[in-house]
Amino acid sequence: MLVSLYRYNPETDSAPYMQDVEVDIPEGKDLMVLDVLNLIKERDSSMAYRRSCREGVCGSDGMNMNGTNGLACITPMSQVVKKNKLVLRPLPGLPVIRDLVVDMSLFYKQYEKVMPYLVNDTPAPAIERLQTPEDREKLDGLYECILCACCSTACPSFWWNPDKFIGPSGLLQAYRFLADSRDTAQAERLSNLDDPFSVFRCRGIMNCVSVCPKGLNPTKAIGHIRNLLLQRAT
Amino acid sequence: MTVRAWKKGLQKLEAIGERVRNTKLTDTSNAFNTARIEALELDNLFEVALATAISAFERKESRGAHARNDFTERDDENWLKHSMYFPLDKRVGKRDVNFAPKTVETFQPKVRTY
Ligand code: SF4
Ligand code: SF4
Ligand code: FES
Repeated sequence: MLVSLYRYNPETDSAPYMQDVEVDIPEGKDLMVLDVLNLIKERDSSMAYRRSCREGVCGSDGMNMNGTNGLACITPMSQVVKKNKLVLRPLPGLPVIRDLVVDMSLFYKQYEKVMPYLVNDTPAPAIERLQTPEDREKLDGLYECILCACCSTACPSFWWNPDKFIGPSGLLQAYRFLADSRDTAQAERLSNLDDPFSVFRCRGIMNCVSVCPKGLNPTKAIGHIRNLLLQRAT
Repeated sequence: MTVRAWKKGLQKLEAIGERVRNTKLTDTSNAFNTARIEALELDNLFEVALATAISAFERKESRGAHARNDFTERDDENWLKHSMYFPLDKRVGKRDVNFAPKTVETFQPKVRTY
């Protein structure tokens, strides 16, 4: 099988290039893309990529596989390989540190902006802040995000304004706290998002939804935030 | 675990140790060098494997997941202790469990039979 790899080492390469390698895939096995990368690394230890849990939990190995973002560890070859060829590139739109490793600083900066933590200054009860099962249910589909950046780096609006548009991942987390019955900072959270860029750069392109490896729906969350912002304005 | 099985295991470990000592790093780049990280991990994993094998041999009792065929019983008399492994001379020492108090009324150390 032909695997085409994006290679770039800032110390030795003046520009990135594509390297074609031939990989022997064991018969009758549907390997994950990460397994194939590991086979490649056994032969060439200089191939750099992030990975840790190898089961879709840590969010380390987001990458672009034959044009689609996803986690290499839970993407079966049968799902992405076309015409017996696999092209692996780093997540689009972020600066490349080396090979498939991107600099996530901008992504994290946007995440930080949405205050991704519970704000509640009332005295904490002896045991815990309670929530009804119905209120807890409102967080389903929001809290599961593993910050892999597959969505934000598939979003054309984020490519254009990675410094000003929060992006689908950050906005999903923004809504995760806006929707939390225990949080008391809703007004402040909305004020922080109320500008032409942070939320309203989203054009509903839905790339984010189609790539999310956890099956989450940032577009829907963004819709809810829009409604909250519009309600507030009237 | 039996002594024979243990000796065989240790021999295998020593053979692997020989290979570990001969690892060579071909990628010396300073940019996100995952080969270097893996080489360090290999060293550490091997040390821990060796410490585990040697300490298990010295602990002449069975306790929880540490199960021996030649010492099938738990021995609180001699082994309510931490094992200390000294990598330089591959020696195992004992050290008292430094909880104070070491035992409490409600939970006396005893054989677990469930
Ligand atoms: S729906 Fe919005 S956030 Fe998602 S990819 Fe499209 S523009 Fe980006
Ligand atoms: S929303 Fe999905 S794709 Fe986006 S960062 Fe979270 S888990 Fe990854
Ligand atoms: S290695 Fe953790 S998500 Fe893929």
